[in-house]
Amino acid sequence: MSRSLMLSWRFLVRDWRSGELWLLMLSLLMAVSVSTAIAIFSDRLQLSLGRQVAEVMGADLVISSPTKLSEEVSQTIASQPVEQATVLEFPSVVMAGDQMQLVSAKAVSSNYPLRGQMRAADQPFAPDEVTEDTPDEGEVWLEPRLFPLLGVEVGDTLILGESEFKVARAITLETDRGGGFYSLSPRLMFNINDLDATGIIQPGSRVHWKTLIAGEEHQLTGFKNKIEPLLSDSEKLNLAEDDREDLRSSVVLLRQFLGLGSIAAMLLAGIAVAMSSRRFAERRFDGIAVMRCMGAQQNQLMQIFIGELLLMAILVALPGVFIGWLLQTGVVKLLAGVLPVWLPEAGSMPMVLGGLTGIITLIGFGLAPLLRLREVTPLRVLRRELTPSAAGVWSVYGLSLLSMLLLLWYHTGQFLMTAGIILGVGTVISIIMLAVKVGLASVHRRLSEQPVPMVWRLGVKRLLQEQGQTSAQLIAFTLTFMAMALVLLVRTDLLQRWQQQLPEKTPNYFAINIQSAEVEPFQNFLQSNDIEGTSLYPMVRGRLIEINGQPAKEAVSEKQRDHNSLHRELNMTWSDQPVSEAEIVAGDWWQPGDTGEISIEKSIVEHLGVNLGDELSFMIAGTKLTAEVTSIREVQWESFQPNFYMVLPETSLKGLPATWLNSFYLPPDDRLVLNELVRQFPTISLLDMDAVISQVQMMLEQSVLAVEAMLLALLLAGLLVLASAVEASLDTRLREGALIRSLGGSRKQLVIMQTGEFFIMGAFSGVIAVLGTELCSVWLNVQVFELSWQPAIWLWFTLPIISALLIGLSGWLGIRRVIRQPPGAVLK
Amino acid sequence: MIISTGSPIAVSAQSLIKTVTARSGSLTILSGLDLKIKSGESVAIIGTSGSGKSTLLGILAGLDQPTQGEVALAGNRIDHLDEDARARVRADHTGFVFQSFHLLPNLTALENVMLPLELAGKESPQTHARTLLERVGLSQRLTHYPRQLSGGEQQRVAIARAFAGQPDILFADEPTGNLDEKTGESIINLLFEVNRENKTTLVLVTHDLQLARRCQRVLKLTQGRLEEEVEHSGAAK
Repeated sequence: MSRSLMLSWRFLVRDWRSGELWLLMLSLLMAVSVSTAIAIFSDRLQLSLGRQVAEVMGADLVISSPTKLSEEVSQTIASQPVEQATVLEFPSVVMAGDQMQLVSAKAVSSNYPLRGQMRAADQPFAPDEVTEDTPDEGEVWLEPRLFPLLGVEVGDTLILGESEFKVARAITLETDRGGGFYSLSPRLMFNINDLDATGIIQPGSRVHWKTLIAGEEHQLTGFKNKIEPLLSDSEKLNLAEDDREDLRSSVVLLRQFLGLGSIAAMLLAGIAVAMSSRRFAERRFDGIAVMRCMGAQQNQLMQIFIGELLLMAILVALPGVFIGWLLQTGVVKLLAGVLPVWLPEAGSMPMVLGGLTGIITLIGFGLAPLLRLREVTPLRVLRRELTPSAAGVWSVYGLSLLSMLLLLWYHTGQFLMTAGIILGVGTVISIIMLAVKVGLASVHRRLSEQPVPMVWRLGVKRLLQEQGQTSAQLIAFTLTFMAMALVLLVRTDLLQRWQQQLPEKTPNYFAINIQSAEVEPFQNFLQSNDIEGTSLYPMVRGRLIEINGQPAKEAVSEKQRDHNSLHRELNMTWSDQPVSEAEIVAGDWWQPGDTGEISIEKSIVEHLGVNLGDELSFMIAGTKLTAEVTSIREVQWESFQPNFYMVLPETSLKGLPATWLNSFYLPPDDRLVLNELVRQFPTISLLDMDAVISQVQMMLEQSVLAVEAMLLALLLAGLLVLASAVEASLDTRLREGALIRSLGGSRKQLVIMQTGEFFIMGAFSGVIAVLGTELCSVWLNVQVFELSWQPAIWLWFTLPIISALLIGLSGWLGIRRVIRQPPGAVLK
Repeated sequence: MIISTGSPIAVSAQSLIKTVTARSGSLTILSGLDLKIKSGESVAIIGTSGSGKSTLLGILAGLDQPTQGEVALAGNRIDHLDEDARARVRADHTGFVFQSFHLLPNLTALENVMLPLELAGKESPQTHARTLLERVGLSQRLTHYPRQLSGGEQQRVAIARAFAGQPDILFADEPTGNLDEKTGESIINLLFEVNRENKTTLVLVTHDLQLARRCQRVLKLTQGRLEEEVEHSGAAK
């Protein structure tokens, strides 16, 4: 083995020196560098998206607990190379003169938040700005609406527990408050060093401790592994990505799209490798025959050549990974103005994967053509026409598809997507093979009936005699167009979806706690100020106490027992109309007047294991209410519209104490109107979603950019593959062209003949590519991205034309070389 | 396991039949051919185009199998062996020179000559190959690629390569077919010289009677059988 490895090495050096390997090496280099670049870029972008979610959460990781963390956990955290900050939240009553108000107090350490920024203003409802500060000792910062409620101004004092504080600023945005409706009381923030002096926290107090953690990805992984086993049941570790429903689906979508891009890029690289290794093998037939003549064994030669390719793959992997890294660095630099200011560095995994991709692509796509070398007979030295039969298309692509399936499944972690694309590719290959067989058979029949014009005869004859070659070329063209079109198509759908997600005038304020008596005046207020609002939703708060007659906490599994919905009051609404039909995923909506039914959000099914037909009992203001689950809805949480986990019929809830909820859009310039609103309706709580919305919007914009950058890279790679596919098929055409010219054929005849052949192949590939693209996009849209699918009619017209022109043009450029050279030079 | 017996008969064929099946029916190329070539002997096989000379050479050298009959190379029956086993016999006993040289285009002259030595795992292939190339007069052309060499030079490289493995039997298929008369003459002189120095058995296939007559025996292939040509000068020059 070591001898053949040494021979492999010598062959590699010799082939390299004689310029035999550059095409294959280039394809491999492309496979490795493109997949490395995409892997690193998407890894960094994902980390950065995670980081943006982290900004909303104020940290990369949060450990929540009802009490101070245990000594062991605290010490372990201190010993880790991560940053930490402490936050304590609790409800309390604050006094200012005669006024008392229930607040949601929050004590923070001076390095809060670790990720993202707070915004604050010098006066309530005045223009705010980003701040790096936190309240100093002896200071409190208040949410704007708390100022009129307490009748205080900046500089006044108020009392919290046993301590007196000076009102310093108005908080307009806390990153980690998010868009939830859990802490509805207005916020009061103070320095954690003042906590003990207030004397509020006693054993048994209802407190929410949060330890915020931030660090680099690898530090966090180490931290997570260390800390998780130490946590008690009441101490919970939250990852940035787990936290926010509204951002998560966008992150998932983008990750899936980048996954799709990787699949397409690898498919392209694979096609390039398959074609160039075919050429590599074919150019070795004579040499193999001579070596067989010299007594070399079949296995010995296979070992040498496979060894040569593997050595090459390993050698190409290193610069390939480096070029990939450079490429993504370039992309990041190019997009510096629009990408997040700080992109976290990727881990080493994308680079390892990129390198391995080269080797696996080579084996998957390059081995089958190489196996033909086994069939080279030594007799070829005497009879050159003894060429091994072409590698079966299925042996080439079967192996390729299998290796791609495994590689991509591992790489993207997305089985459904990978399987869909592989199925699409398989279908396309089958169609092409069938078409070539049936189509050429009919051409053959016609040919024998009446001769075709000379300009077409040679081309048709060649296609007939080399069906394997014809299929291989068509497959390469088609799959390349398909990969490009698919990414383009899904990108268009994705962008549309993102645009729909946050349309203009998305409600940026939520008004909650509107009393029934205030509903009409509130609506009048909005109307008189020209503010566009949604309809008002009644909101009833109740606790889930029983599931199917059993106490709720006993009815669920141990893991489900920790879920929030069992530990707090849930917001319910009544409505006799579903918000939209599309959101009901199971069951049916009730008729007006029905009672005893409930519609729940899909995540409740997942988190509590509740399903259609189950009975849920709630305790609402001392009254027990039981209802059967008759429908399940799926809510788009990222829409920033009022959404509810539980909806009941009007007759079930009417009469129970309810407050009302409304959301509305207020342009930034009209904010002063809020002062008036709060003055007129002092009990209403106002949530400002503007900052959160713009954060999500920024993230979506960046995602769009990433998607566009990837599309561009893919289109370029696709063009390269096309050019090399055309180039690879030029060998025989060059000889044939020279022969025709030496027989007196004119340049025009030659151009018409050969360009026409490429043109027709391009058009044919375009049609099949559209078919394959549509097949895959149905699958991807419905199964993976959960987007609606519509046929892309425009693609049916444009792609065949573009592909015919592209292939025709590349062919023409290649053929020009034939025309320019004297035929003798080529024939020699 | 194939054991060379050091037989005085280098090549033998008995009742050799080769038929090929074509669309128009089956075609008999060799019909019960017998042949014995002694060690160290030089034999030319002549015949018209399409008479089956190359087919016979292929079968005698173990590149192809007969439809029927026995073939032995250096005392080893090869007609019933599979391709890999025949390759082992070839590696131990044969060398080849072809009409179209069959040099590997991406290897230099030196590397082309080193190739059989490397494949056989021989020690210091480079030194050996260098000596051989010097012997055929190409010491100045070691690092040239075949495309940089003239036809005559390429055939010299091929001769050096053929003798690299120190074969017992050299098979040459129209070695001057692609060369002009003058170059062909010098190549043939070289071939016979080196052959003599190495005491190799030479089996030469050609349609050139003049060239054939430089061999000790000339056999003519007609209608699938060999006939001894009586009139020739008889001795290799």
